[in-house]
Amino acid sequence: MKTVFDRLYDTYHQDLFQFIMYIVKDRTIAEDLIQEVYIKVLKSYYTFKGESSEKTWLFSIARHVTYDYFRSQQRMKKRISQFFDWSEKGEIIPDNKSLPEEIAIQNDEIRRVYHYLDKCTKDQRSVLILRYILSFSIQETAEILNFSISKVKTTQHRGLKNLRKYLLEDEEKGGTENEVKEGKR
Amino acid sequence: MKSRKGNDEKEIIQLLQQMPRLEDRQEKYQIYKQSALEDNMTDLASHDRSKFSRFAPVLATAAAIFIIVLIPFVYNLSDSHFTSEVANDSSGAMEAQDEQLTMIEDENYDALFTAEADKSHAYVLHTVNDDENVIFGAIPDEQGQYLIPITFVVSAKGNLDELYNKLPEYMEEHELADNDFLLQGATYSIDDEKKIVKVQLPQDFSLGEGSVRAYQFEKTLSVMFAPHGITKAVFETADGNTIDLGPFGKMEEMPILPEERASYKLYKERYLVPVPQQPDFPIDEAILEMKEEDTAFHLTNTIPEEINFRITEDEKELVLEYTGKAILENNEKYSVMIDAILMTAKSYGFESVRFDNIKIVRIGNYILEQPIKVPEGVNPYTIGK
Repeated sequence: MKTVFDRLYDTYHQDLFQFIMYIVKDRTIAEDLIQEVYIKVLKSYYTFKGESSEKTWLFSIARHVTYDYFRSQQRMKKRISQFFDWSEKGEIIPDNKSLPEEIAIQNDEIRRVYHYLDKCTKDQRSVLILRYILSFSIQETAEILNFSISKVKTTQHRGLKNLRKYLLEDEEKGGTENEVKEGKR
Repeated sequence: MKSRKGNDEKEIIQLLQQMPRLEDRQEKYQIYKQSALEDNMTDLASHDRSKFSRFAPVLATAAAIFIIVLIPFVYNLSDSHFTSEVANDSSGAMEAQDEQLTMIEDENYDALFTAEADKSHAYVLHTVNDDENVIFGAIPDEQGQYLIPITFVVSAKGNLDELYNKLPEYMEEHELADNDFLLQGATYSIDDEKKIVKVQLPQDFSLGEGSVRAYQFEKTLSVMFAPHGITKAVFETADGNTIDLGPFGKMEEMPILPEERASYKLYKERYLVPVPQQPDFPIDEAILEMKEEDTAFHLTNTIPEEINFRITEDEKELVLEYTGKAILENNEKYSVMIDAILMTAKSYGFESVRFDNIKIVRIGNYILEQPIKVPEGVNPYTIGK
């Protein structure tokens, strides 16, 4: 089993981490989730039938683990909101994730793209990360997300449009929203 | 900053491509150790288990082939008269359909679903007899991605506590016990008036650190008790300590959430499994989603590609108007499709489903010219017969 782990780790680990980290934006959570990915992978490696490529299979598992994490977070937020009787959803837990070092040292535009990725739906975010940050093909992205090719294209287009809209709005406001938030960190 | 006004998507793509690599700083060995420990991969016993699990798919495949071979004979025997009539000229076929429909309407409609043979092979449970009780369980799939809900039809009366406390027995009877049931060793006491279930967990109970197991634990409780109207689980241990529920922290109680909206798909050709959807995901898209496969997780679509519906709602009834060109046949593929549509509709709170313009009177046990009630449960197993 160690040999399997070594090979998978050497081939895919940094990309897997990158995918999860750009989605959850929290190093500790990403570390927990990637561990869960390996647990599932090692558990089911010998039943993997090779119907999809090993790479897309691994990333599908990472996608499931990450989405499940979000679902559990949503439920938890819901419970907290019910407990405190806060009416507006989305205002419950403030965005207090600290900026990763690698992003903090980048120019303003890159920092804003990182920030506004959150404004995309999780499917749009996954497509943009897989397609442009990890340079995966449309076919690979479709297999990982279990989308049709045309759904990847539509989601990709909508994601880019969304990102552009927020960057434009931010630019028009003189980048205030973002700068204030970054300043708080 | 460069002005983005009038720019197209290219600039955004370039920015995304310039995003830096976010490196994992954990030690490789540390990750392996944690993953292997969590999964008990270092335990020699797991080798024996894995040997068995390698044979299990072979046995399951053999069983599936047997069923697949058998089913056409069963269908042919029961429907040969009807299908041969349809194949003849249209007026003759219409008469045959009318005749068939009249015959079926004359029977007690519910009786179509009460035969024991249906319960032991069906994907859904439609009726529960007066001398039967129903309890629910759930097991994670092989890769821990989905939860497989199970319905146990117990041929005995008794209070729900007693029946739930026999759940391990029932699971064992159907060889489901090995499948990592998350409430292993728990006992239950249901308070019908307060709508709570007291769950006594073993002293060494642990969910580990993973958020997925915690999420599935919460979902398992919902699958088991939400259908009985229970709204809260209260946890207890024999020594009176609070339970450490991993990422949830130490908890004394947990709300039982209502059933999640879901698209039902077929897992390993054996179980109907709900693939959860967001609360605002519309029913027509959830039905469309049932056409998608996810082979990496052994999920097959339940609506064949050639089938299309226009979907509308009529209060608590979901209406599916058939708009596809393919001619539907009375076979297992379409019968499973209806099972899965009914369960999907149920998860959205519908009480019945009506098929319009479907041009076939009967598929499997379903009479399609009248609304079909959503099932009582999914993946039924009969106990005690």
